[in-house]
Amino acid sequence: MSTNAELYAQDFFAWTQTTAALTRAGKWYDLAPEALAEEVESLGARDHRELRRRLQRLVTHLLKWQYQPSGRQTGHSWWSTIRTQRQEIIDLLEQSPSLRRTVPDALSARYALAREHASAQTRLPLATFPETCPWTAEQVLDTDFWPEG
Amino acid sequence: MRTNAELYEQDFFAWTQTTAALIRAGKWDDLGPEALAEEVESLGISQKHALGSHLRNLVMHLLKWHYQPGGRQTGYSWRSSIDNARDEIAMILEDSPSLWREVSGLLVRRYPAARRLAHDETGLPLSTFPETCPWTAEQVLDADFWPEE
Repeated sequence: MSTNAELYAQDFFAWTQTTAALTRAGKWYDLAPEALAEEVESLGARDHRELRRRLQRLVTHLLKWQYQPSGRQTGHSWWSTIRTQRQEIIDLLEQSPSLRRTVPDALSARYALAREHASAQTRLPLATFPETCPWTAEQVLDTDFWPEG
Repeated sequence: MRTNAELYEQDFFAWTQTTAALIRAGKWDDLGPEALAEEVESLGISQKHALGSHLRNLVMHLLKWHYQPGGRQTGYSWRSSIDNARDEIAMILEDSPSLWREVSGLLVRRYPAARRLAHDETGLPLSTFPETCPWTAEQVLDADFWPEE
């Protein structure tokens, strides 16, 4: 019979099932703690990554909204992207309030990419868009904030 | 101080970080075992769902390949969709060999959705496509299997 650590290397699905059973039975001494700790951490890392990805997409669309006013109708795809991304981010932060403090850092870390995408997608010169994020985290996540130039 | 079980309800990200630290420190008595067991199980279940989705996509593209041969010339994207889905499935099964025994059951369960999608995407009558999957799991996953009339 393979140990929990061997199983982790050999068969991930079987490891999840066995580990859940051992945990429920309180058989801690049979568990490989490092693998378990890493997998639990990876669940948090997944949500953190998703938050950053969604913030970047939201900022790209807010930039397009502000700097290309012709796309600004209610019901337009930019409008619905902004609404959807905000709602998804709000849901994520409700589930994990401790991620809220990472939002300002994520915004500055991802802004350069958001700006490049906004420029590519609108075909406006990169210099059209400010070099650093022009909005606060509160504005970006405020469902009533629709920047107009 | 909140218990691990309370933290799980209130802040998922914080729970993942705290739980990983408790596991590494061997503080098993402070853990909420049920939440931990469920989350570990859910990792395996996500992988099984991913396998099911890739199988559904793969079978949909095989149906198109077989029943709408006209699409094969311009069908470079069909060919690469089939290759990609087979690749994704191979990676999952390498990671979790125990999921092999789920493949036949997943094929049976996901076939109706694959058939409906093939009908939607080709515009061919639903009755064009067999009511049950015409291929074995081995054929579906065989990189050299390209069903022709």
